[in-house]
Formats: sequence, structure tokens, C-alpha cells
Amino acid sequence: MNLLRTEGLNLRFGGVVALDDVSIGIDEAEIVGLLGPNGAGKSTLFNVLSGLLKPDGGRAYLGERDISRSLPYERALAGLGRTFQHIKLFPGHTVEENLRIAQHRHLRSSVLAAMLRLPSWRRDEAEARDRINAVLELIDLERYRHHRPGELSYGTLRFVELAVVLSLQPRVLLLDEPASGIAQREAEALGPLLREIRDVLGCAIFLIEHDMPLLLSVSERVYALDFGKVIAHGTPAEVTADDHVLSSYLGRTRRDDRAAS
Amino acid sequence: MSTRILERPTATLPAKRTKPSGAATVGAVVLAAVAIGPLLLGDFASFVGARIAVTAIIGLSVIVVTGYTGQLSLMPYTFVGIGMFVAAHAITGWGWPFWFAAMLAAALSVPLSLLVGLVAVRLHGFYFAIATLTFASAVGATLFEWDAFTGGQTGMRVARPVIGPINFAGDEAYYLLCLVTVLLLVWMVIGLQHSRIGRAMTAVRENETAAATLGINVMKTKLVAFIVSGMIAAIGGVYHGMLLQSVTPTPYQTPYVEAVGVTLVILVVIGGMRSPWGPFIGAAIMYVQVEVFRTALFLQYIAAAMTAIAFIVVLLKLPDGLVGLIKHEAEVVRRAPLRGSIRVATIIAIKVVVTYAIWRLSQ
Repeated sequence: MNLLRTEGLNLRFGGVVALDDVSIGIDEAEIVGLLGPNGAGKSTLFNVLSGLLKPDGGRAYLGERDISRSLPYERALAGLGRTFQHIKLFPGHTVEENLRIAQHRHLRSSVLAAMLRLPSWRRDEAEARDRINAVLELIDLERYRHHRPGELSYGTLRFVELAVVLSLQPRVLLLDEPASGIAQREAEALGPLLREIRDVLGCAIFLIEHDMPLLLSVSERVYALDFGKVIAHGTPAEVTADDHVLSSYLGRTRRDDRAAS
Repeated sequence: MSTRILERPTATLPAKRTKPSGAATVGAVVLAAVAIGPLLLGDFASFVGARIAVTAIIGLSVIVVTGYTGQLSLMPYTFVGIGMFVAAHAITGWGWPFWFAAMLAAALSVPLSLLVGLVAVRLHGFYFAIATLTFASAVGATLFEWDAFTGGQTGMRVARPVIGPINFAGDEAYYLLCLVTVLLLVWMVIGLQHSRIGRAMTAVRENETAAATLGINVMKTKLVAFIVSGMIAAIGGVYHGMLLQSVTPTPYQTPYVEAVGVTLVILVVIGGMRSPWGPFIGAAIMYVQVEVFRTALFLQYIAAAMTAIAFIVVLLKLPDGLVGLIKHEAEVVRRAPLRGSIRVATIIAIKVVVTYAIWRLSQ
């Protein structure tokens, strides 16, 4: 039984096929890569999975639950977290407050409890603080706690966004190009960090990444997408050896390889 | 555990969030001055002070729905009117204590909030504002034209309360009651701001998509903000009724209710829309100015023009209004206590001298 599963997702934008019968499955605590050339439909698939886009057909399941018709916030409450290719943070809030916003799912206190500072509100805030501290320590962002996003470098913001979505404590984490725009040294450390996140939080990770060494080293399985269609899946070694993948994504064929060698 | 992976910052950023020493002392002094000042200046100043405090209560409703949640509601005075006439019936008609009437007014604002909110939260930006404006007109043309509810053009009386041995009928005592209430409500709104729901509100204001993908129900958050805002405005209406003591429905009928709603939003923006203290400061500036310029008609036009100019300056330079300016000046004082204090004192002195000179000339 997959933790996150789709059955025959289809989506067209006018005459363009964005997703073509996409069926994938991700297991509990598994790290799965998604590769494909620009415009292959990778981010579109993430948008459909997180509920921001409505597919024309097909279903999606999170655990036992059919989330095909759920709204984005309902999917987040069910344990689906995601980051964006273009970082989305709350610019008027500090790093800590950004993480606190993501705690919504775990908190219960009512309007009146907050207004009167009742014990239920105090308990909520104390628990939120503990969870935030744990995430800030895990991602090593402690020193940026009181900074606003506008004061931080792009590379740091990538990690802040990761921390925010971890603060949600998702069961499945969708990461859209977490290494884009960050320094080489940080990108190299991202692989071990993603494994650590998986080990500590026990969440599954579904990863879009153009940094091939990173994607292939961290993923246990890989799906390859082209023209909205799954053209290959398997272990990183299997997928990179696949003819379709070589021709569409790596931009060459085996014949070219032979000619080169 | 090899998680120490982030790049070192190229320059060490200054330590932030160290509270300026003595801020609490300054706050206490300001509060004491605000509390005692009008009492020393007499009945009339106390009436103006009470009016400022009441306007600050009503302005708090704008903070919650517009300042925090980013939805421009132009119908605050519709809820004020409901609170006011509910109080008139409850206090004068049925002899209820005022705090009980205030709770009833807050409760009775909820059905209208739900009706408007369930429509308006589906709309964005401009369309939300227009929807609330339309409802303000509709309620103004129906409920507030209903003489059984409003008492018609003869109006209704709203008595100020007597609590135990304390009689709040006098302007000085009533001013203190209003001040205590507005401080309590500011404290409550600050609590809301630092809670699950308050953070959901500001998150919705800054990025609805990001908020939704973090598990926040955007429409429900907007609806809650609208309901809380309506309840605060209705409570403000109860105090507004007790301030005036004799109330008529005209300001809540169309086309007046739309205009006063916009004026209130302008006042809150000048004071500072992101802070619960904003309406208080905005109302203080507005009404002190109105009173100073009251004696000369031509100066009233100048005052209106100055308000307009202040509004434009705030829009261009001070997104957080006068509260933002005060925070900025406090930071200047903190960095260079002597030079900063002289600078701030000079600015305040010039303001006071100019205002006083205009007032003297107009006598």
C-alpha cells in the first residue's frame, strides 16, 4: 500500500497535454526523485498533488484517503507538505513566525482563548515553540530566527522554506527544486540533510531536482516524466540507463555515446 | 549530524529584538498622561477623550479584518449602528446593565457578519470591498429606516451606566470607562495576533496560496476575521451610543454610512493599520485637530486638507502609519539617546507650537 498514490491523472491546458495518464506511488519514508526536461509537467504534477490545479481526470490517494477532490488546505491538514520552485514565504514575518504559521495544523486554541490568554492558548504556544526549536536545530537556522526573509540570501531562504514545511510535520514532503539557486557547497550537503529529515521525521520525500548528482544519489527510486507522461521508473541506475530517458532528458542516445567512445 | 551547512553571512547582522531599555517606563508615563490629561483639562476635554477612545474601539474592528487579514471592509459603521440601537433598547428599554447590552450587541452582529461574510469571503480585493459597501447601503436603506428599531427621527436615549457606587454619567468618569475598555480590547486583539488564528489572518494577507498549502483554510480565516471585526464594532457602537446619550439613525442610513466607513479606514491607516494602537493614535490626532480648528471655519478646510495630505504621505512613506513612525523614532533614540532625544523633542515641540499658534490666532 503506497502512502501517496495517483491513478491516471490527466490534465490539458487548451491543446497542450500537461499530464498524460500519470500513475505513481510513493511508500512510507521513501525518497523518490522526479526527473524530466523543462516543461515535462513536473511542477504541474506537484500542483495537482497539492490541490492547486484540478486535473481533468484521475484520482489521488494519501494513505487510505481519496484526496482527489480535497482543497489545498485539507491536503495539508492530511499531512501533505510542499515547497515551491519560486520560494513562497511570508515577508512581513520573521523566520520563527513563518514556522509558527505552519504550526496551524497542530494547534487548537480558540479566538477567545487567545484574547484572554487562557491556559489552552499558553499550552498551544509552548508546544509550538518546542516544535519550532527542534526544526530550527535540525536545519541549523537558529541564528536567523529573528530575521525577516528580506534580510536573508536566496540560498538561506531555500532552507527557511524547507524548515517552514517541516514545521507542518508532513507525512509526505513534495520538494520542488530545493537546490536551485543555492551554492554548490550547500547543494552537496542537501543530500545528507534530506536523508536525515527522512530518518528523524519519518516522512516520505518526493523530489524534483535538476541537479542530477544530487537527485540520483539521494533517491531510492526515480520517475522520469516527458510530455506529461511517465516514460520510465525504477532505481536511479535503471532510469538513467533507459533509452527514452537518455534521448529526452539527457539529450543524447546510446548511439551518440558509442560514437563518442 | 552534519547539518551545519548554511553559508556564513558575509556581514554579521546586528542583534535584533533587544527591547529598548525603559520602554515600559515611557509607556507608563504616556499612559498616565493620557489618563489624567483630559481630566485636568475639564469636562469638554474628557468628552473629546471619550470620543477618541470610542473611535479607537471601532477602529480596532478595522485592524482585525483589514490590517491583519487584508480584506477592506467598508461597513464598520453598519455594525456600530446595530450595537448602538441594540444598546438603546437593552439599556433604556429593558433596563439591562451596559456590559450585558454590549454582549448582546456583539452576539446580534454575528448573523449579519455571517450573511455578508459567506458571500464576501469568496471575493478578492476590490470585489470584497465593494460587496461590503453594497451591504452597508442595503442595511442602511432597510434596518436603519425601520422606526421601531431606531426610534425614527426623534431618536432614542442611551443612559450612561452606574456601576455600584461609581456613576459614569459625567464626561470625566465616562472617559475613564472608555479608556479602560479600549485598553482591554487592545490587549485582547494583541493576544489574538499571537495565536493560531491571528497568524492565519496575517498569513492570508501576505500569501493566500502559501497559507493554504500550510493547512490554513483561507475562507474560514477571512470569515472569522469578519465576525470578530463585526463584534468589536458592535461593542464600539454600544459605547458610542452611551457617549452621545441621544442617538438618531441618520449616520447609519445610506448614503452617510458609506462615507463614515471610509473616513474611519483613513483614520486607521494614518494611525497604523498593522498595530492595535494605530486607531488610538489616528483618532487622537484627528479629533484633537478637529477641536483645535473648530473655532474658525476656514481653518477647518485647512484641517481637512492637512488630513488628506497626511494620508498621502502615509501611503507613500509610512506603510505602518504613525505607529511605524513612532517605532522608527524610538529606534533612533535607542541608537543615539542624546541626539535622538533632542531630535524627537524638537519635532514634538514644533508640532505643539504650530498647533497652539493656529489655535490662538483663531480665537
